Amino acid sequence: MSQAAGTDGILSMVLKDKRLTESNVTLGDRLPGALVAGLGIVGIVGLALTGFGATVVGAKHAMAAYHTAVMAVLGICLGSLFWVMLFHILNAKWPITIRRQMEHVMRAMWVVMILFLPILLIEIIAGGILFKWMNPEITAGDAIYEHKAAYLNTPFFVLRAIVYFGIWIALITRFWAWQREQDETGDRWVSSKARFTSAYGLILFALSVAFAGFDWLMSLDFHFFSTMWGVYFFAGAAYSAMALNIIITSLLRAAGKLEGLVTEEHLHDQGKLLFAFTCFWAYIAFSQYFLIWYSNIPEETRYFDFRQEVFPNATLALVLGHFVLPFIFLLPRPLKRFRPYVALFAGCALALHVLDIWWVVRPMADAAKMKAAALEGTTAEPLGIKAAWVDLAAIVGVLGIFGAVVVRNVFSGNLVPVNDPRLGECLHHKNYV
Amino acid sequence: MARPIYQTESGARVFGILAQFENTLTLTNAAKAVRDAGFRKWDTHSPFPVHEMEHAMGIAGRAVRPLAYAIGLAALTGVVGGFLMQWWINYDYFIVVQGKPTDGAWEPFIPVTFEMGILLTAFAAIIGMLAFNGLPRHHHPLFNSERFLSTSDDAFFISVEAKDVKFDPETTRKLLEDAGATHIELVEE
Repeated sequence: MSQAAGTDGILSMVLKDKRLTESNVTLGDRLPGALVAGLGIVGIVGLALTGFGATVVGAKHAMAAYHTAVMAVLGICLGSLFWVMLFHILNAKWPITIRRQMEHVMRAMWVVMILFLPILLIEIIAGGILFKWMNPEITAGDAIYEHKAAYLNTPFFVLRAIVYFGIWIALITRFWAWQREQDETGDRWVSSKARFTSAYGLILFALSVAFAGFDWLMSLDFHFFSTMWGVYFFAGAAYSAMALNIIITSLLRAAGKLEGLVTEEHLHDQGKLLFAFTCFWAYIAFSQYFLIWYSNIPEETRYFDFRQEVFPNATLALVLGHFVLPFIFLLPRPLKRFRPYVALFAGCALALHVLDIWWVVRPMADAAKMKAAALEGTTAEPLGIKAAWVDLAAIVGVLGIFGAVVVRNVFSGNLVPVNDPRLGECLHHKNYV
Repeated sequence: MARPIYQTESGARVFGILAQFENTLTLTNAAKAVRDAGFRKWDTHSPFPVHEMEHAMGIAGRAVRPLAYAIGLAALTGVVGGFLMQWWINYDYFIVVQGKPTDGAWEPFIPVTFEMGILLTAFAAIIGMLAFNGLPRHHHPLFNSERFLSTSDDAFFISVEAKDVKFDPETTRKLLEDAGATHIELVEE
């Protein structure tokens, strides 16, 4: 191992552990250039097809598809940052060997920021394609908008976007710099610093994620409001981040790495958290739905009404796939300890996370046209399945670019924080119940 | 074949044999020996939970499984019962508020359904835990041993009941001695 062993007795004892051999905790120098390049090419082709779709199907639809994809990967990144901070602040021992993969995912935030930039620029230059409130012609004389105008205006919107990404990148950079420092020097006080930073970091995170959810998802329908929205976005983010973590660690185990470091005991806990966030998401989503259902205020109910009327299959798929089926199939204990099974459900969880965001964003591409038709007494058909290739192209494209960066990150160094002072306890982790 | 009734010198019936151990390591090893000898009606006693003891005793999973099924059944009863109760209450006496649909609306029933599920789960968990542990219970023959009282302080014990088909005062004593017991006594019923 290239890293210094440190002088601490317990630490050097841990470092002598035969599970921490170089071949087990690194992927070596063999960065699969073909894989990274392939994912990158898939990404660029996907985005090019999305751009083509903008000319063929419509700019609004292409923007909605791209927005869905970017928000989905943003959720995965933010969820990973959340888990890293949670593990630090709780002084958690068991997730030490899986935490590094969370860090590799959150470290891809810069690419999400670059992918988000076109959304901001195009929306501002075009005067609101999806963000209708940016268009003064639409908001003129709108009583609901006038009450929100002090918050929902373009300059403040841009400023907030800068602040959100500023907070996230600052936190991610600090946590990652400390990880690198600890890997090299073995300074265990770094963990203490990370723990302290997590304390205020989580508060900043909670506020910024909630307001980012309001800005980038809820304001797509600027008449709609739900105080539960920030939590809803966060629930999907934490869920998908844990799902991706299970997939990455499972792939590494399949590649013969992390032998004895990420065991079925760790998998069991990952599965429990995946299960927990399935329930949490359902609880949040139903609370939001239920309050809106019984208060019966038109600005709010039309959000659900429109999605249930026009996208009944996606709505049902979300209820079944995001809650009912994972709840039933992830409940039995022995199944949560069987890696292929949990990895399969983690893959489904990622797909359902994308569908969740799609279900929020994509209907807005149809909403205005259908509303206008309804006012004239006619009906307009939603774009439907024939335009779905644009959605797929954008989602595959953004996931390809994001995936290329994550793969590069995973190959960049140690697969576990070899000098973490809590590593010894992580290696002896067991679920007694 | 009827089980022989063992008696102490004073004529009282023997509840079982109690062996004291010095620490958790010898206790765990002795537990493995008793497990491998095929005993069923026996237990280990320590002032704090000892990890891995359920494996050493060979009861891992087996001990809690019936309770888990009982809790699962209670949860299902709560969810189904909670929903049906509200459906039945609203079946022929609709409460019409805010123009909500009176037929086919499942939404208003979910909170109570959820809470009934939680309530019965909690009841089943607490009451089931007590029942499977044989609690509440006013007295246990093991408390007839003065020495046993220190198990809540600093002592570790294995008790083997005379009801066990493998029990024999001599051979069981020998087994526990070989396993490293520091003190062995017969406990009266």
